[in-house]
Amino acid sequence: MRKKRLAKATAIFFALMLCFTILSRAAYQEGTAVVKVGRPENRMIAHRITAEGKTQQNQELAVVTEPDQRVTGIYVKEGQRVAKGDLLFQIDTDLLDEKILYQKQEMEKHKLQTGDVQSRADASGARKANDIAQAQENYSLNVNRANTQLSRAKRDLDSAKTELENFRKTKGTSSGDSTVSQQLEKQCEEMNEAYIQAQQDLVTLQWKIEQAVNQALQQATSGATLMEENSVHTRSEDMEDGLVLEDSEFQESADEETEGWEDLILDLDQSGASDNDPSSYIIDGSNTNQDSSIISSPNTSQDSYQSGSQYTEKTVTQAQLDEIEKKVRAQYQSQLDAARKKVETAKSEKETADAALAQYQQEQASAATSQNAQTEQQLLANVRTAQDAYVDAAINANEAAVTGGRAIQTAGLPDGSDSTLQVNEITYEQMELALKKLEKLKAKKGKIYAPVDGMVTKINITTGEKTLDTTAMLLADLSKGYRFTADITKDQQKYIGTGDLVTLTAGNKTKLEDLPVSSVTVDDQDNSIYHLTVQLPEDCPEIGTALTMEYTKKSQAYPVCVPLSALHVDDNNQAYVLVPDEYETIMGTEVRARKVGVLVLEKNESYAALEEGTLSAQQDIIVQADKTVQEGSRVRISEK
Amino acid sequence: MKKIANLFIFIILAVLALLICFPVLFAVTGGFSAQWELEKNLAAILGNADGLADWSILPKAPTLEPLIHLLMDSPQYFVMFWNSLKISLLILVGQLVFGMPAAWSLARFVFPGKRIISAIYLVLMLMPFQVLMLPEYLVLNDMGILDTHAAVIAPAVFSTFPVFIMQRFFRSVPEAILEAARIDGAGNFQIFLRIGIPLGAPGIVCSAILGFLESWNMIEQPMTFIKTKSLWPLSLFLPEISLSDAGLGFAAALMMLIPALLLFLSGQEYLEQGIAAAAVKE
Repeated sequence: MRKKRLAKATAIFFALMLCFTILSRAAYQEGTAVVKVGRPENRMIAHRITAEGKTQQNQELAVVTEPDQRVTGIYVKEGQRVAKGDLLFQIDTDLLDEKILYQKQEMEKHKLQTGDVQSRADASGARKANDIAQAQENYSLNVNRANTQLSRAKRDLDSAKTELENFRKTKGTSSGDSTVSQQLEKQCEEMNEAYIQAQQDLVTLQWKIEQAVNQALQQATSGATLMEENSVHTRSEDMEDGLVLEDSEFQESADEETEGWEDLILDLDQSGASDNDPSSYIIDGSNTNQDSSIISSPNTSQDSYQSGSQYTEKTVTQAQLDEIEKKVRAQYQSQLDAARKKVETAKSEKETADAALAQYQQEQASAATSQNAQTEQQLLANVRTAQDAYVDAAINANEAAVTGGRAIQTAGLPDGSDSTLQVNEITYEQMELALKKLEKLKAKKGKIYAPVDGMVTKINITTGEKTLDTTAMLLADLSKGYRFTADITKDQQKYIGTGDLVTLTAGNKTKLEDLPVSSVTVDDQDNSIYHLTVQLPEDCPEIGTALTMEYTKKSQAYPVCVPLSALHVDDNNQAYVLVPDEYETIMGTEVRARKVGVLVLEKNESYAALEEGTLSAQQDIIVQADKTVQEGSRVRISEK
Repeated sequence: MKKIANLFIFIILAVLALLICFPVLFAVTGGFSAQWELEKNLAAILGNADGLADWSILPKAPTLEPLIHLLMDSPQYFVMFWNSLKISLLILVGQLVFGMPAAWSLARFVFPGKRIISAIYLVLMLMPFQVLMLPEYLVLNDMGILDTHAAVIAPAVFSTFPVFIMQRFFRSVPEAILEAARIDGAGNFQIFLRIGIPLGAPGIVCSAILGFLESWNMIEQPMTFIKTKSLWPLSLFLPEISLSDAGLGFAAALMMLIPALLLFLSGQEYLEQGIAAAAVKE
């Protein structure tokens, strides 16, 4: 019984093994690709290029008219042929008349406005001349007054001196020491002159420093050229040449020193001016106007900053401006210190000389009697008082000259440029031109005619609507001929070029053969598309007719050509073919696909030409498979 | 006290038996394990991982996938299975055809040089395959049957081991029975056919089972004498397996075990007698 069961189990086991043998073989064969093989051929690679396109006119004309005119009638349709002089459309003449009237009125208004502007300009010029004259007059009066006071002081001084001299001669004390006294007095006078001169130099230098500081700040903030500033500077110098000594020498040294802060300003223009630091601020008049009482430069006035549009765009931080001012002042500091020292020295020398003279006179007086001494002391006091008055008068005269000069300079500074008149003239000319066009249109009674023989290809206007600025109509100029245009791909472009003879076929089978390609140009937007153009003969189809272009280019004969279906490309973009190889396996002799890398010389839609050497003419190649075949895939070669 | 001692011995023997059964247990467990689990467990010995191999008594993710893959997607396995069956059966038949008369003659007849022949048989039986490989190869090559199944079958057919086994059984047949047959007019062939074979059946079955198992499992001979893969027996399937097919290998081992197991169960009693007979000292 047990043996029977064992025998039964054994039988079942082998039966199952037989079943699974069959099943597994069936599955195995199901996974085997059935392929067709072929061999490389010697053949040419033909490239057949086809493209769909249309006939177009060679030249298109735009018909335009005045904008904002109402269209009363359109007498053509798109696609309609027209002869030269045919009426295309008409515009409303009533509205045209209104437009002409309106245009004339506008021109008149403009003319009046131009006259007003001219009048204002003339008045402004007269006002400026008046200001200059007034400044010159004030200058003259103040200088004369100061000179008069100076003369009086001089006269008083001389009188006091004479009086003292006479007293001494009468008294008889001056006979022996008159030479010493004269020398001391002469020395006092020289010291006075030197002191006055030093004081003048100091005032002039301070003014120059303020002017240089202002000029530097102005350049930093407005970007005005140094050349312009220097020209203003030079003008001010010219006016002061008669008043201030050693001015040209001072200017030379100042010019040299301005180079330093000009560099700093250039740096600011390049970096700081474009800096959007929150701490930076827009320059206004309040910043630069603080020195306006000292420096009367037109370019630094508050008005000029506010009117210049560029000033609102360039921003410089206050810290940078302070730095510029500090640097400019530092450059002049040595000169200023020297001038102040010179004033102090002159003042000290003057006081020393005065003291020496007074002491001498005191000694002389002590030798005399007390009454005489008292009188002489009085006279000496008078001389000193007159001398001080003379010094003050001299300083006042100098200040009056400087102040008056500045006022004249300020009054003579030019105003900003004003091109309103020129702009108005241009505008008027444009209005005049527009009026002429309208009148010309009116002369044609609002009718627009075809300029050439052609075909209407596009109408952009509508009856009852107003005309726009754009083209009203487009006309194909038939006298310039037709052309065929089509788009081809970059791959196709490689095989067709200018001069190649193509065949064009219309929908009704009309054929135009052996037409040369006139141009092949790449598209502006997409460089994978090319525009092909063929000039058409006179008996060609109408504009807009669809045509099919055909062109076949044959290559040289290649010894190794395989069907395109046999060519594959791997992940590395390397082309390869699969060849069948026999292998000994447990299942017997099997055929498996093997990858052979190839170099594609040329290919078309059907065949690819390969480089010789990798495949022999007798080598079988897998050209077709019912499943995806990869390297190592089992295949079965179909005999069909 | 004796019972306790017996129990102790039983436990020891049971543990040893369990250890001996481990390879079979591995085959069963591996045959139902997922591929990822086998790769994880065996990577240390079959892959490049460090450490020691691991094994689960029960699969973490039991699956029939390896078995299905073997039975449905591995026609190579069946080619080798049927090759093995063909080789084993032909060897078995050959050993019976040539071994039984040889064993009978050595057991029952007296002729000059019998002792020397028996000694040569014994020596040949003791020689390992590595010694016989080259001479066998030369002979088979001269016979022109290399790279065929005959190259494996022919040497095995004339193996001395079945003759040795069967000789022991034939010798145990009582001489009185043979004398009676002779008196009744039976010839030598009739005596061998009618008396020797039936009475020596246990030895013949035992020899057949041992011969089948040997030929079912042989590796060196087909590996040496057969180059064509399509002629390989099943024993060469496993060496083709890598870590990536570990599940398939265990399933194949499991399936390979079944025919041998069925045969063993069928002739278990004869096999035990045969092994005992071979071990009894004359």
